[in-house]
Amino acid sequence: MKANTKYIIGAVVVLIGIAVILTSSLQNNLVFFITPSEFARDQEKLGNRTIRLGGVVEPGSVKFNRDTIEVSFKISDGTTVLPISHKGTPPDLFREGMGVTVQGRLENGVFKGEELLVRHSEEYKAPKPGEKLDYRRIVAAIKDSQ
Amino acid sequence: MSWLGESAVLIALIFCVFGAVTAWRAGQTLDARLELVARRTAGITWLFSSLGMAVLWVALLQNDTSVRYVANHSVSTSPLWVKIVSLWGALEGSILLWAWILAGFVALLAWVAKPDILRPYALAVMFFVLAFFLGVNASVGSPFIEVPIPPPDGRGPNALLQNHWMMAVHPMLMYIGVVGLSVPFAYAMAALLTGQVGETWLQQTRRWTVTAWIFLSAAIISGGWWSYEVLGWGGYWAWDPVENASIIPWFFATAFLHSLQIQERRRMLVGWNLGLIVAAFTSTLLGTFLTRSGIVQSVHAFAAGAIGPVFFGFLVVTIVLVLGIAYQKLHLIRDEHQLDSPASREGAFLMGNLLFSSFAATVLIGTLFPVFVEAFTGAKSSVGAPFFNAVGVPLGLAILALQAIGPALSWRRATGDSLRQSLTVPAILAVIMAVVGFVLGAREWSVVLTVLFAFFNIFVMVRLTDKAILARQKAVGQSWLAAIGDLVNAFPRRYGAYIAHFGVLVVSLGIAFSGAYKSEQELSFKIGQSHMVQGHEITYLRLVGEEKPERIVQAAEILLDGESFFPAQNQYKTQQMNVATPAVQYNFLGDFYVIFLESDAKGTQVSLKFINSPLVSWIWFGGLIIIIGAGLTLIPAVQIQSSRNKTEFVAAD
Repeated sequence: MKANTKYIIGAVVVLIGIAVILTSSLQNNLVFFITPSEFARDQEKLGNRTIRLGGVVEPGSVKFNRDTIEVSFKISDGTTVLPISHKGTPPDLFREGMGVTVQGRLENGVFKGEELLVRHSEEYKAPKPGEKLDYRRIVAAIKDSQ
Repeated sequence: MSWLGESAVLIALIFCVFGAVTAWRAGQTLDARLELVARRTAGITWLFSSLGMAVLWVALLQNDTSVRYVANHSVSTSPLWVKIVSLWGALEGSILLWAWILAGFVALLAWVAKPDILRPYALAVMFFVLAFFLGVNASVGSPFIEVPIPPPDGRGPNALLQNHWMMAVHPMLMYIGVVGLSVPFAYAMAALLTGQVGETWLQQTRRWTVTAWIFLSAAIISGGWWSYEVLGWGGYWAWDPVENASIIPWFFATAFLHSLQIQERRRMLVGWNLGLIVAAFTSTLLGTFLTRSGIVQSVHAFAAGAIGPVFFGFLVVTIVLVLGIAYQKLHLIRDEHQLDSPASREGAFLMGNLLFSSFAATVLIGTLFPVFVEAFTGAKSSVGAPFFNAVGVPLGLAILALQAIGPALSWRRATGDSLRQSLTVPAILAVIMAVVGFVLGAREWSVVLTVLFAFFNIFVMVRLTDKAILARQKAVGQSWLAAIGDLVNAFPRRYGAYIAHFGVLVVSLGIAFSGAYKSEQELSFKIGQSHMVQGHEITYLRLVGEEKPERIVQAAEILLDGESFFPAQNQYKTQQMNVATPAVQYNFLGDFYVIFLESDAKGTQVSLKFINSPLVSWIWFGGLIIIIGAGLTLIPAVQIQSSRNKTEFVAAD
């Protein structure tokens, strides 16, 4: 065997090793963006995989416990409503009726948010009492921003 | 005002295109007068580009809202320095700055470059790239569009960009670094076009490359520091697409910087070197495209616009041209020697090329993967830090190990004897240090390995330096200190590299420890209440507020180990966004970081977040050491006496 061939084989082995690590960790760490309805539909399949949920903060559902620094609220896409619990303070711009994304996973039947993101938008207006929220438009806007 | 800026950019563009054509003709005809015209054109182009910059600065300082860029991205209440840095705070201005720095590089190159067959073509390539950026400024990315009915005041700069003075420094460093890479790229192209692919183009541009690399490294480190100081999350690197866009060219440039030495010494890896610098340069364009086009989401990406497709077009044209030229000259890209043994300096550099390129490819794949997933399945997804860490940690450790062994390997073929002599003792000592680390409590395998390789590096460098000192003492009979001085004078590139490598170790330890042992805690405080947090006593005293012209500051006054600290939130009036200013107790062995999260209306109860980050400051110090070391390699070597006889001879003379 020519010396050169040996080096090429060596280099290929190194590259294959890197490629294997790369693809396996890519599979394990891809975080999908889904809506509460999709989450409810695929719950079995998702198990406790980390996902990013996008939806509207249900008006009247936000409870912030200042003593334990825990915030709980409901996230909705108009059809499915999902309770979320998040250890931490809500971000500055977190408001009811606003589109948010929550990255986290299911733990003992409760969706634990690890990361709460508010998409900063100049269009946001606080919903008036009794006003109907346009869920579909808000969810579409969050999806677009991903 | 707008018309003056627009004309300046347009005239600069015209001169630039003229310069490109003239330089190209000069290369073909070898007409010295034509080349002189091209070189002078470079200066004139720079002058008009500078005029464009000056116009935008004046408009910003006078708050002239009839200029669209000022109306959209500045506000009269900003402090002076914020108005100055607002020039690159948004998309169009940042491209204006890019073009201006590039124009400066073209002019400088035209002035100082050695007159040879490569110079006219290198200038032509530089002009070509500059014409693209000026062209963007003159068309889809013009900052000088006139607003028909000027608003009374501007909308103000992005809140994140005005909260720390680093914003004045970091982008400047980044642009100088990125633009600096176009010089070796231009020479690589000139080498291909003229068929002179030998080591001349590398020697001609080594200083340019090292300088660009220093700026790029400084920019990346300072960007991390900015993120740490301003974003209030206690981290410095989020694998955000913008960060990734800056690290990809850095990996290629680092590989190039090492690999070019083989071509200088052994006339090998010609193809690798051309490929690496092309990859480094085109990845700067790719990064700009990715972060300016809205194709990937990023916390600090600029708004989407027509600029994305234009950048993509230029990227494709550049790659097609380069590949076309390289294909035509393929028969010239040949190595004079073959690798004698994998256990050699050449073998180590080759391995390094492989590792650095793989790292760059990994980051690129991770950044682009969600785009592909969406294109094929329509599903939205993201690739987070866990992926980059899973692949990056083994690759980084492999690079660290290679960095230890590399300097101990001799050129061509390292004999087993010499290897044993320089590596055995350091390896044993390094294992002992790793065991000590383990006993002291380091249980993360990545941290233990980082400690192991870091000490292996240090001991190998000490061993090699010690050997060189002994040899000199034997030959010349000098004192220990004088021998070191002479060695550094004679081999600034070697010892500069040692220092830079040492800096890499310091950074690696900082990353490993702050990554593995960072701890966070969020706690609620009532006025006067105290908590013990990770060994620190914290008392919340009161809420204090201050109103500045451009923002409202709210801070929680706390006592941290008996000393007053003020973690704050800034609310900028023109933006909806709050920006935190964390209070940090800096410490050599670890920072204690306090973030003011929120409070009730009267400030009777506040939530604070505490982050303990061991060795995080080593990243900034290590970065500084890297820069000093790399800077040392720029100093020319001094001839020193090599034997005792010569000393006597000189003395008698």
